[in-house]
Amino acid sequence: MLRTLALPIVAAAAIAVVPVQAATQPDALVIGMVMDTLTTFDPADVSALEPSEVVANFYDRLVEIAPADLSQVLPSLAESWEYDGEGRVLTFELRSDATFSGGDPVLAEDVAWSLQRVLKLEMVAAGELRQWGFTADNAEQSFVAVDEDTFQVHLPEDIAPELFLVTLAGTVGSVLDRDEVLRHEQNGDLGRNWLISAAAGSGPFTLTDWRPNNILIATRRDDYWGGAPQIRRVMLRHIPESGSQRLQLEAGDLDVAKGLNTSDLGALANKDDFTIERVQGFGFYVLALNQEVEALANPLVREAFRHMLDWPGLAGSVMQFSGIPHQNVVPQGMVGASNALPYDFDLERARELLAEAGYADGFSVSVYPSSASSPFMELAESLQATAAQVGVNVEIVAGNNADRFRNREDYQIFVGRTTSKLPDPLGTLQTHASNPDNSDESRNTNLNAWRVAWDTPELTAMVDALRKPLDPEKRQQLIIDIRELYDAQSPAIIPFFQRVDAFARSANVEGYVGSPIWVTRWDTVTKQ
Amino acid sequence: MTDDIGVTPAGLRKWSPSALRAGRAIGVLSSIALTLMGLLLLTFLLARFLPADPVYAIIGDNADRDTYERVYRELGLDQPVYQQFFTYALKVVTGDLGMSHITGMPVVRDLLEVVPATLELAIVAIILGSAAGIPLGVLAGTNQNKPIDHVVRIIGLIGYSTPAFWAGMGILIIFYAQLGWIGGAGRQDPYFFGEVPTVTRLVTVDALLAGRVDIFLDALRYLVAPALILAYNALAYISRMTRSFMLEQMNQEYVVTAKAKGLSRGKVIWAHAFVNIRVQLVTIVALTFGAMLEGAVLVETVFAWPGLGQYLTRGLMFRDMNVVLGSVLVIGIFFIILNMLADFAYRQLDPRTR
Repeated sequence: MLRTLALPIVAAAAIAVVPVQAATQPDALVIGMVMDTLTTFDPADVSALEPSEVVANFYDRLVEIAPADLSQVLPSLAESWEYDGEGRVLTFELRSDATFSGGDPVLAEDVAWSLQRVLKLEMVAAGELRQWGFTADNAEQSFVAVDEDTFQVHLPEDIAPELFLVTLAGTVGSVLDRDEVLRHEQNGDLGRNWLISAAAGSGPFTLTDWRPNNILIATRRDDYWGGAPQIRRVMLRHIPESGSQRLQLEAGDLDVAKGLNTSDLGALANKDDFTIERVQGFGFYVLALNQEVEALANPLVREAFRHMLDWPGLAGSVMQFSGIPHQNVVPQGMVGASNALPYDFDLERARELLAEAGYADGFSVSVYPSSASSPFMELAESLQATAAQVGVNVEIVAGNNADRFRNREDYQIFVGRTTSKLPDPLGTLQTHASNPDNSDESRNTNLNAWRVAWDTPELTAMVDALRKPLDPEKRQQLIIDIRELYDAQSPAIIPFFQRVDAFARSANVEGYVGSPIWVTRWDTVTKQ
Repeated sequence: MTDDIGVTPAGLRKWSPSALRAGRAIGVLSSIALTLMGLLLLTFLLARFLPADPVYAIIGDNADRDTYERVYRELGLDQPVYQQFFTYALKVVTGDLGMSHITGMPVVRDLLEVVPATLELAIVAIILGSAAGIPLGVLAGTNQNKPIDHVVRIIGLIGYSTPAFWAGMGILIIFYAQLGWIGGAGRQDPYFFGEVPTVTRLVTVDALLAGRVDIFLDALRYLVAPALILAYNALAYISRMTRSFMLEQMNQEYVVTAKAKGLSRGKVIWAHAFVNIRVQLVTIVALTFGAMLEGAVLVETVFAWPGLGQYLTRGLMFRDMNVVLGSVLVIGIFFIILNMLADFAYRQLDPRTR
């Protein structure tokens, strides 16, 4: 018997006595996250939060946005830039000491080719350039290398050049090592296939190893033009379960946990060893009312829904770390924004509005939460409970409903989260208020106003005017006018929280600053 | 000379034993190919009838119409369904399972990563589960309604009804967070990642092959908790079935006869009754092992174990049909292999089936 048990006992003892990694190494940064969306290192094909952060550290862009001040555009690969008299040509002077990880210098032709490539590939990021009138056809005339250090952009449309400048601060503006990428081109794919598992940028880190949905290891560049980062190695670990991430953070095996739910964030918030960071995003949690449903097309009914939302209750519970109460279509912190919360949770007022609209006895409607996960289900359930008190019978259709929001015939009310990465009010105003063609055939599924079949000719014209060069004061007034008109029209897309992306970090980690345009960098991180 | 199989009605040609063996092999292979193709077709059709659009899973929320249409064409969704299946099936035959959009990699390459991870877990779990479950089941079955029987049944009941997710978190809280005895998430400490050459893709085996005992012990520390949870679940099922098989045998006349002949209790149980349940046990163990390949998803999620269950589930969640089809195909192949191994074991254990 003893002989039978001897082997397991010895093995267990050996496992127990070998010391467990008590804390991450001082020159390593270990981040726990859900890596489901990390599928490539190609800036032309990146749209989600997690891959944007990774790409932001392998590549540089011409300019950066200061996370604390969105109006401040900072130099990066470009030392300086200027507009011509009409504002249609932007000229960038590149710094001369920047090199790619392969050793070659970063040249203007790399910049031009990288932006042309985005348009030619027509991948996800292409839309960010196409919105300013760039196309695959005009790409070569629009992005021009004047000499080794001078790069020019010729704007194809009469837009405010500042708008394009801030676009370049996002991942779409990443500069690739042209020669290195083309060495790995297959069948004219401009290196797309190679960049699924490789990177060729001038950023402060290089890709060392990557196993999809498992682990990514990045190593610092000691010769980085901005100075070698303090952190030598960054490890991203795929940990899908929030509770597991929290345990790892508490045990010291993670420095940053980015996939925590409200309950785990709440638990960590009360501990001195951890800091909860809230990164304000440019999207909203919205109630989207499909205008093809007769009752919802009534402005009084839409107004009633604004008063049915128990946002104070939600702000103290499920939305504590996911959003901040917000009731208009311009994100906080931007020019023309308003932090006012004029729509109280007021069921009596909602009841009056429904009666005025001819629905005194209420009606039945289906609500589709974006997914079955938090906080969308809780938001739908809250609405179901409050609407029932004013006679509106809400049936929740649980499931992964994000796709339904793109097909008008597939939903009635959608509870979800919208996104914009443009650090300017135009970003959210375009996607929420603009709808140039409300016909079914136009299929403008990237515009939320189209998705809810909300015809907005006046708002669309005003948003369009916002794209043009304007005097700053006039521009600010126009933004305020759009915001107020949006409210006055009892919108079919009702924002009630502004998106926040929260994460927890160990108190000994400094300089990990979440970027609202998702380009969080690791070279600024230090560990005590 | 005529062997048993070669006996044919008069007038029909008689086949040589080697030709018959070849014929049987061809028959078996055809049957396997048909089974796999049927499995693929069924999964493919189910996937196509799901009310979900795989294009949006790839392009994200804000992509414009041009991008949508390009990706739609790239995925071949503009083709008729039968043509999509035909194209896919042709590729499968050549060993190409397509690209995964949830990893960006060829599905074959992904499977080479995730299948060994799950196998490492499942092999340890099935060994532990069987090693404990079978003796416990025999003990219970030969002591019906005695205290030991009740204890074993309660152990089984707990193992069967405890949610793996809950058990996993509990173990992590106690043995990882509080005591620091086991690893947290993944297959090994990230600092060891890439330290030994990849040979079998089983971390423990590769560590031993490279002579790195420290990495081997580290991998064991990560393996022990998820493997024990799966093993306990397997134990519950195996012990319950073993008990029921033993109960049936213990009431047979040959057992009464053996007892009457004065054989020791141990000999009656192990040399007579147990021998006769081995074939059934092989089936149970094989089925339990097969179920672990795709059924360990909750354990894999809690322990961030990058295995097949998690891969398949993510494929379903993100409508990555190449992943779903590839994973189902692999699971199907494993079930076929397990069946063949079980058949082989039957023939060894039971002369009547030879």
